[in-house]
Formats: sequence, C-alpha cells, structure tokens
Amino acid sequence: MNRPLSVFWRVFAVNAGLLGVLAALLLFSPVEIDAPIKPIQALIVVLGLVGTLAANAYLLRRALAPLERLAQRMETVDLLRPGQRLQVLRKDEISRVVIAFNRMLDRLESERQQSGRRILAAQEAERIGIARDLHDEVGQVLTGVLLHLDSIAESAPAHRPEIDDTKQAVRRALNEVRRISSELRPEMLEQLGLVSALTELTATFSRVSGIRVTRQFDRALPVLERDAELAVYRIAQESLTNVARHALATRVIVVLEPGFDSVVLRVVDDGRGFAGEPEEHGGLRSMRERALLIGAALAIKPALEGGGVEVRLEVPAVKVVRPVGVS
Amino acid sequence: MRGTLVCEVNDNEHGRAALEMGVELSDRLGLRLVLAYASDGPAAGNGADEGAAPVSMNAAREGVARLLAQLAAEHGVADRAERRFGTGDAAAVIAQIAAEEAADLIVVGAGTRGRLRRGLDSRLADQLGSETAVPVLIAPPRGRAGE
Repeated sequence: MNRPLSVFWRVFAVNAGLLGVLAALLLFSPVEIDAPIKPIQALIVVLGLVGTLAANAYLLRRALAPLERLAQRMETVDLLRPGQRLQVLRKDEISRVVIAFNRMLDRLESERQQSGRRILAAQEAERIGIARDLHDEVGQVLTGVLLHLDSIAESAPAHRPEIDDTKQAVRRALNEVRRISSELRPEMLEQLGLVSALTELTATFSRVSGIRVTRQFDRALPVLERDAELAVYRIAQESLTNVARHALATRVIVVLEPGFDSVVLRVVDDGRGFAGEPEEHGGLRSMRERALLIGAALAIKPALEGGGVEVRLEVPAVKVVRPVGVS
Repeated sequence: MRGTLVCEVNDNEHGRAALEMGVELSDRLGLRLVLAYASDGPAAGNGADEGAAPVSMNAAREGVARLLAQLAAEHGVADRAERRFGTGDAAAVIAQIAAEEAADLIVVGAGTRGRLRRGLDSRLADQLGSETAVPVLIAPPRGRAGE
C-alpha cells in the first residue's frame, strides 16, 4: 500500500533525518571538542549548525510549498476572472485543503454568475423604465413648452428674439433627452441589429466628443444570442465613454469582425494609455461582469501601435445545429 | 476565422525556443500571436501593494515592455505580435492572459529531464494543466526540435 505521508510525518521525517545525520557525524567523525573549546572546533560546530539549518529550511520549504501557493492564490483570486484553480500534487492534508478551496471557488463563481445575471437584468429593466419616462414624460413636457412658446411669440411679437433663444435652449434639451434615452435603451439594437446599433453609437460618440472614429464592421458575422449582442453593445459604449473621459485620444478605431466561431469587438484608441496597470474602476468591472455572464473573453491592454489602449472582446457565437438528412 | 496562440516568453534559452515555435505555428496556422511574460513579485490587481513602489514597478514594466519589443523584433513579428505581461505566479499569469485573449493554444519552453535527456521538463506546463483548459504545447530546447 502506497499511502502518502501526512504533513506532520513529513516535517518530522525532515527533522529526524537531519538530526540523525548530525548525530552520526558526532559519533563517527574524528572531531573532538575540548573544554575550553578551541577556535577551529567552534568553527566546525558553527558550520555544522549552519549547514543543518540550511538543509532544514530547504526541505521544509519544499514540503510546505503548496501551502504558500494556496495562500498566494487566496490573496489574489478574483471571481471576475474565473477558472483559477490550484494543482493537486499529492494526497495529503494540504491537498485536501486545496481541493476544498477549488470546490469553494466553483460554488462562489457559480453564485456570482447567477447574482450578476440578476443584477444586470434588473439594471437593464431600470434603464428601459428611465428611458421610457424620459422619452414619454420629459420629452412630452418639453414639446409642450415649445408649442406654448410659439403661441406666446404670436401674441407678443416684441419679445420674439428672447422667445427664439428660449426655444433653441428647449430644443437642445429635447435633443439631449432623446440622446440619453436612446443610450439607455438601444432600440436600434432590437430593431436593426448589432452593426447598425454600433454604427449609430459611434456616430453619436464622434459628434458629441469630437473624437474621430474609424469603423471596420464586417457584415458577415456569426450569429450571437440577444444577451451577447446587448453585452457587446454595452461594452463598446463603456469603452467609448472611457476613451472620452480618460484617454486624451484624437482617434478611435472600432472593429467588429468574425473570430474563431466567435465575434470579436475591438476598440482601439491613440490616447495616453495606462500608467502601469489599468485601475479596475466601476466601468471596467461592469465590463468584466458582462463579459463573464456571456462566457466571453475580455482583454484590456496596451494597443499594439500608438501607445493607447485596446479593449478586445471575443464572444462565442451561437452553435448552428444543422439538421441531419436521412434518406 | 482565426484563433489565438499565447506564447510564454522570457530572456533565456527556453523562452526563446518557445518564441521560435510560437512564431512558426502562428505563421503556419494563421493564428493571432500574443507574447506573454510573467514576472515574479506581488500579483497586480489585488490592491495589497497599491502605490507601495510605483517608480520601481513602472521601471520594471518598462523593462519588460522593452524586452518583449526586442524579442518580437528579433523574430520579425514586431508589427503583429501583441504583448502582454503580468506579475505574480507564472502559471496564474499565463492562464489569465490566455483566458483574456481567448487563446486556443499556449506554447511554453522546457528544459530536458533524465540522464539521457530524452524527456521534456516544464513545471510551468504541469501547473498550467490545472490553471486552464487551453491545450499547452511544450517547445523543446533549441537543437532538439528536429530530433
């Protein structure tokens, strides 16, 4: 029977072995210790002690290395980056802890995914509600104000210049309300699909921010689930918002292309890039959360050219099942 | 329709052998090539050491960026090989990069094992086995590839 040693017996064996070697050296070596001790004898004792301690440290470090890896992983594990598991090397107590830790990560990742899905669904529903209220309530009120201003202008022609200025301001507010409403509820995505929705998004972004956008959208893309399309749209939207807020960029390239049974979105800017690691603020975490929920791979990294940042999202396409013909 | 190959590189003989194989495979199979470098030190992103030594961390990052650029240039892939690096446990860093890049294959370097030096020894490949489901290819040291 090949039963592995427990941690206790492994540590005991290391120490027993070293003490045994030391005892054997004392018993069988010609070295004598006088009283008072001579310098050369003291040197031999000190060297023996140092050698024993070094061997002890090396052997214990090897025996306890899996614990060190486990502690390190516990400190750095991130549920938004799933799949990080530790290797089970032996069958001892440490391995049992590692297996339990791996199982705990399985459970946590699954729970996190479920709660994330619920939160994002609630968030989308809330956005749709706000968009509807903005469009139906605030939009109607502002349109009413415009009509009212028209009637005032007719009855008080002397104040027409001021009324025209006010009407301009109201129209700007109306346009803003429509823009915010369309950002909150991307109707274009539901009606015309991802490419049209991203075209509209990038055109609006360019107009509002003044940053030049180059679009490279492949029309022959694999089919995506509805949730996946919404995630791609939201991640593109968040990436462009980050460019406008932080990048100091003059140009953005937005690419939508087929991958390996997948669709790839790339948003590349020519801005100032990261100073070190990108900070995982709310926007980036939300992007990771969305990518995680649709099983996509998300990389936020320095751009290959230009010193800016590239956001790359690869979303698995819907598996097309072809009917089997029987003749 | 192309996949992605993540190649673990560093400035030693094994890392260069891995890079050579990675470049060749990406050329032959038409795969996107991502060079990945993992350096020791506190893992980034856990917030534990944020701001502890930003100057030396930034200098180290710049050094790694220069090294990756140099290795990419040496192998003629400077214009197309994407470069990623991270700090912390090598297997965790490489697996993380592979996950983020949707890698279809990881290439790592190896030493030789055994008195006859017939086997390949890669602790990193062993550890990656439990860190990721992406297949790991071990590049033999230079001079062994044609055997």
